[in-house]
Amino acid sequence: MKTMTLPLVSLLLLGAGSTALAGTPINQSRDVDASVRIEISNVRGSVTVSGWDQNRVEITGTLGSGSKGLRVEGNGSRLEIEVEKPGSSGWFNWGSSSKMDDSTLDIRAPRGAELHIDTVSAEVTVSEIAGRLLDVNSISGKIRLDSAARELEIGSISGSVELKGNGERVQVDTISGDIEFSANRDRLKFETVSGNITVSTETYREFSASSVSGDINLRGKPVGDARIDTETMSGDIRIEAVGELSARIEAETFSGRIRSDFGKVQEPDHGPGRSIDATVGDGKARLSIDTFSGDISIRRD
Amino acid sequence: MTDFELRRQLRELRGPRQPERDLWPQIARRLSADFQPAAVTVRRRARWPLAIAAGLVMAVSVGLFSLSLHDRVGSVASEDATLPSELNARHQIQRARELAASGDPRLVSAEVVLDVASSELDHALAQQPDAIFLVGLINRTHAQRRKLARLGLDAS
Repeated sequence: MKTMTLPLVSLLLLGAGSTALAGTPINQSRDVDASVRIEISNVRGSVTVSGWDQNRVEITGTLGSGSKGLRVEGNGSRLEIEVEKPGSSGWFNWGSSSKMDDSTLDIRAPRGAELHIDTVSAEVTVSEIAGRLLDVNSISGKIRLDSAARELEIGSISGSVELKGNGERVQVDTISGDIEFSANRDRLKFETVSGNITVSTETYREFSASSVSGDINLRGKPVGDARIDTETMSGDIRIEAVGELSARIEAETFSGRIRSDFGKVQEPDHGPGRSIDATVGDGKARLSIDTFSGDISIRRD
Repeated sequence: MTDFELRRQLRELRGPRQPERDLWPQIARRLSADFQPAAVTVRRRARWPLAIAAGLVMAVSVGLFSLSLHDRVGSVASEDATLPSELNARHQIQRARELAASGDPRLVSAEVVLDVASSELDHALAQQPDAIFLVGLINRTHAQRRKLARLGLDAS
């Protein structure tokens, strides 16, 4: 058996090696402004962008076989980097993208760059970028951002989204991808259909999250007149309030359960439903939670 | 008025309400008036022709309905035995197969997720029609469906 397995493994390794060799190395660079807008698109493989203190964009990696080439166009204020697909079809075309192998883009860019990244199944990783906006869209690729960009706008269909890095605003929507956010931003907005949303932040002023069947978990301290709106159909909602909470709380579920360290759970004499309507402290912040069948938990941390 | 206040007011509509005045004396007065023999006799006499007519209409309607139902029983018997949830699941499986056969495979799972979510949201809204937040979730699910459709067009 061993004598049969060894040649087979060697053949497989040889096959894998030849595929890797098929990739064409990339090595390009452009001088750009410190706040350059960079648009990057790659269908499959990976896109990795990291910031540095130089006004220059450097692109390395490998171009997968089957792709038409790497297009790098633009000037100092705007640069487009695209792994081109074979044929003249749109970049999302299934027929032509299935003919390409994975391309790997490793990009160094000025820290203040504004990034717009589009992928289909390619994973996206961004670090040390702190420009005005970081905008990433993917179909199934995993998105991992550790960025202090002022605003984050993320869209994914089924890929998961992991976010770190402080800033002002974040907005994420997915269909089935999970969302994990661990950073400090004032305004947070998350929407998903079946993904789970997990948020851990020190303080926040606006938190809006909705899901049909995914769970929502929020841990942090709402400041001042913060507004928290969360709703699910069947997903559970867990809110952990860090520090002294001062808020008007309105929570309601049609057939789920409610557990709360604040206020008293009300159940009507007739008909379904449970709710809480309570004011904690001076009630400046407003906490609104709705579910149809999901459980609600509001805890003091 | 903010959304927050609107929701609170809608919730308050659902609760029990106390009448502004004591209604019982008036109810009691009407009840005692209804039980006076002369008045009852007059009213009963006055309503007999109507009751007979209504009975006839009902009998004819029930008869016609029974006949039509009898004709349809044979054709729908197999469907009656199937639970709605099973029908729903069957429909979803069928839809997934159609999508897998014709659509972009990268979008099929998302299409199925959206189909299931839409169906469950409709069901939830039927049970809790005053839930504004469910309408919001339905709208967002439709927006995701439009986004997916745009991607599907790009893919073709």
